[in-house]
Amino acid sequence: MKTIIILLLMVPALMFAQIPSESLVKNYKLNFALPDIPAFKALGTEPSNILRPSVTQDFSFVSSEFFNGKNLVIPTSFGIEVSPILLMNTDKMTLSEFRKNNAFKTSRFSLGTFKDSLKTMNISVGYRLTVINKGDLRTDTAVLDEFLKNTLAKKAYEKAKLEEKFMQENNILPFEITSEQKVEMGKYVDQNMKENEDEFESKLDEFKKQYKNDNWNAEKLDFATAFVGQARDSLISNVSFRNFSLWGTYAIPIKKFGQILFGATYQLNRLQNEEYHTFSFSNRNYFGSNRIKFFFEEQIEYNQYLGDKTNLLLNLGAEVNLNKGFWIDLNAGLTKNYNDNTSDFVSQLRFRYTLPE
Amino acid sequence: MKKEIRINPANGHVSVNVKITGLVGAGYNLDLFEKMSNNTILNYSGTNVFDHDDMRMLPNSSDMNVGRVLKLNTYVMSIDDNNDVEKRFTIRLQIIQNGIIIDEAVITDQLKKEHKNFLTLVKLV
Repeated sequence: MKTIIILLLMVPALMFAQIPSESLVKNYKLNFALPDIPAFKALGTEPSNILRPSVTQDFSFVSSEFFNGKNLVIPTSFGIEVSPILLMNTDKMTLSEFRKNNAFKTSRFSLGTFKDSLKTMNISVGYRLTVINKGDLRTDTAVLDEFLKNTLAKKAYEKAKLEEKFMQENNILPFEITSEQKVEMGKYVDQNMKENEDEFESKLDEFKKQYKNDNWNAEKLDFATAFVGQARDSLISNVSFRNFSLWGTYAIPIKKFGQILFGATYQLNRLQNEEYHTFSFSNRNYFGSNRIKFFFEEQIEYNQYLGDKTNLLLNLGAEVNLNKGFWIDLNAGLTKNYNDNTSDFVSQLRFRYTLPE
Repeated sequence: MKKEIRINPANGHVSVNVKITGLVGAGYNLDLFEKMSNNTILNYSGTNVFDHDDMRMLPNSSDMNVGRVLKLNTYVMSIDDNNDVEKRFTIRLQIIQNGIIIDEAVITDQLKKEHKNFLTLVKLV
């Protein structure tokens, strides 16, 4: 526990000493962890089996620990998740088209690799589907329409009326306006708008921030699957089946300060032509706000692969947004093995990076 | 964006549609100016949240619309969590006769987290 507290105290100092410039932001994104990815989770690098639902992104990246307590180290495992439809087609679809068959459009494919202590290379491919996806502004028609009507459409109307007034006062026909007159009209509009562009930008930012704070715990239902293969070398042709995983996670909000996650996981492992089944049921409860959340978690697991073991995991943790897009994710807990009545201490410290708002 | 679009004066009515593609939020205002005038004879505002409410039929028959000018002011903002990826979008002012898009004025651009505004002018000839 002492080690964890020391680490926790060290990390803010590290973070604030190296605040990235905007030009470095893209590089950081590739080097720090983002939300749970099925192909990464299937590699079994974390004690918790719950797959946390998330808003669909075009692309996200997650890696294992890169800080061993003393030094920065090359992560032994990583995962990427892409949404092919979002990557390819978004500029061609309207928001109405995006909302049609939205569960299909939020499909994400993932890929992960992990080299274990026996130097065996594990590779996994995953697929995730979000069936209930509340708290996504792109599909929240009621909130978005009202906001856009009261801001962007209103602003467009105000601008149009000022331009009309300018043209009438200066006897300019709309289609005959010259470049010079357009510049003059722009100045006239800027001077007479009720709020300037910076104030307007702040209003838009504030809305997005508020929406995020109000919806960090929105209702979601995710299903995911992943296959893991392993090979003694790095040749794809030598990869053999190791396991298959299935997840279902349902997240429900508790007012604006909490979120309850219920998760079920099944895993089929194959070893020397024998098949082993693992089942687990998890519950994780978050409390706080978008920037600072605490959680506690219970998980019961029946694991044939590790020798018909029944394990209980009790976990406590926190997620804190330190600065701009930097997050710390720290958790510690106990696993109790009911077969031999032993307990183990587990802990994990992860940095995560999401781009600043 | 400034464009002249040829319509068939003998062909019924003219409709206009504002179509915005890309996962962005947008609000717009459309004015129709009488020919050789800076007085508006039609005005409407809207957003890109729904597709079905962005089309209007222009007043009078097609021949009466020759020489009229459409002016579209559009504001666009990012509504995405992912602020590092530039979101591409397209604003189309489509001119429709007999249910067929006869031509359109198109603006294509991209934005990250900021908002932008655009002006489209179309003269029906």
